[in-house]
Amino acid sequence: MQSTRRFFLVFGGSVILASTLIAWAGFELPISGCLALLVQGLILTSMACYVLEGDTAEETYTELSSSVPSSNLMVSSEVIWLDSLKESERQCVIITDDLRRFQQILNDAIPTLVSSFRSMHECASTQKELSGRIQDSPDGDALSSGFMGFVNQTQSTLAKFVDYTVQNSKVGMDIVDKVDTANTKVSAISKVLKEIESISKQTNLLALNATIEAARAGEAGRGFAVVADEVRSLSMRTNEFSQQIRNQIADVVAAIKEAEASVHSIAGQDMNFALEAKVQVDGALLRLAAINENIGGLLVQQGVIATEVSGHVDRAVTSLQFQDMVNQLANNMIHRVELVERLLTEFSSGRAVVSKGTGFTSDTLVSVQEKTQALRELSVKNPVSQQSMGHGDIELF
Amino acid sequence: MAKTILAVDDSASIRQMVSFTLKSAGYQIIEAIDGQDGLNKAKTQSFSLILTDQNMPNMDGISMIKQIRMIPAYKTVPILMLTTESSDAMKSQGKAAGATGWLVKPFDPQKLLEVVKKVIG
Repeated sequence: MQSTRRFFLVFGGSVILASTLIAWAGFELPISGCLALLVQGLILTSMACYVLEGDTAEETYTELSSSVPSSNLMVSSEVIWLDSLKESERQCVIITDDLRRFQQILNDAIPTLVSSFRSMHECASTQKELSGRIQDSPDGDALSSGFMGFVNQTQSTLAKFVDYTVQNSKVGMDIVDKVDTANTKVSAISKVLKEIESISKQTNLLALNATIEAARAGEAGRGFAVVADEVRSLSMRTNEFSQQIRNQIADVVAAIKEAEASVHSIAGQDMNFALEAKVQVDGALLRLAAINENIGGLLVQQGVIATEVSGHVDRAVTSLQFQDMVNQLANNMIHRVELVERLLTEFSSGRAVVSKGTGFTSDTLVSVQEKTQALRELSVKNPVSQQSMGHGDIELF
Repeated sequence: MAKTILAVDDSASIRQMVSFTLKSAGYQIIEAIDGQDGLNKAKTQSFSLILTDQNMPNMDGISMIKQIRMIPAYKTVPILMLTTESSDAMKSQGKAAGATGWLVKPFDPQKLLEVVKKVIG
């Protein structure tokens, strides 16, 4: 009967320990459940060790009793018992130290991880802000629409430029026609001047004849001779004016010819270059608009990715809080293992007393009862009740 | 001017995460490493909100709230618990001590911000 109970205790403790290790390694069970299992396994194993070691000692005692004196066997059994209990106590101390090292490692690693995630979050926020700043112009209009405004304005200006160029070409052609008309008019003036010069010559000739006739008339023709001289003088002045006008008209003709050459040069230019340039610039502007639209799309995507990174960092921050939960669970475990260690100390000292046949003192029994009760309370007052890393409830009073 | 929040927790990583979450929303954060440290800081400086853990060495969160509520300037200042404790009994103790709300760890940064905005704007 006793051996069956011992078997279940040993077997149960081992299974719980193995299950804890599998659960921990595989992360299939919540952390709190794993740690609770581990403590239970530890306690059960310790208890089993206590019983088993005692039983083993008894069996050893039975086996040896047939061959050695009974007083020597009693001493040997006591040594084995005490050694087993001391080793269990030592293991409790080692487990406590290991748990503290476990806490220390997490305490060192997690702040670095949190710091890294914080930097990632800041980088993502900066990236998002930059994307937004590129997309939005200072007055709140989207950059893309501002850029399209620039493209439209450039196209409109270029169209006006081409229209003016074509218009100028047409005006040049008109000027050529008008210059031709002016040339014709100037030629007509030259003909009129020739008539004037001809009249002047005839007048001069008439005045000369009149002077001759006046001389022949003698004293009676003296007055007439004066008139004839005045007429001749007027004829010569007319001729001089005619020459001056002819000279001026020659200058005008020369100027008109120069203007005609310039206007011909303007009017004769091929206006297709302006139209071709417009087509090319239109094409370039459309490509720029497409590139701008593409960049706008990429910036939007970049903003979306930055938002996603922030979301991932938030989830990482939630998950990284496992350190605080595990730390509290480990503290609870340390307290429980320390109590188990103290109980084992009570057992080892009590065992020595029992072996002398004096029995446990009432103080020892009270102390064991208190520690057992404290162990039960620590199990109930576990500070962490969460079974997973999903965010906890929120309640406003 | 940014509102100042007192974050009380014995876990350095939790203080770090609370600070970074709230600072990103424009709040100013002062950290305290336990209830006693939190109480001392509350006496020397005014805060718009106090966010505290429960299980801490020297002085736990509920004891700290009781002490802080005795200070006239903190009669109406919101105090939120942020703890792994989630039992109804513990929540009742917190409410009786003067806590404004109870947030169970782990906290979701966005949810924490929502609650803080709801409480102090």
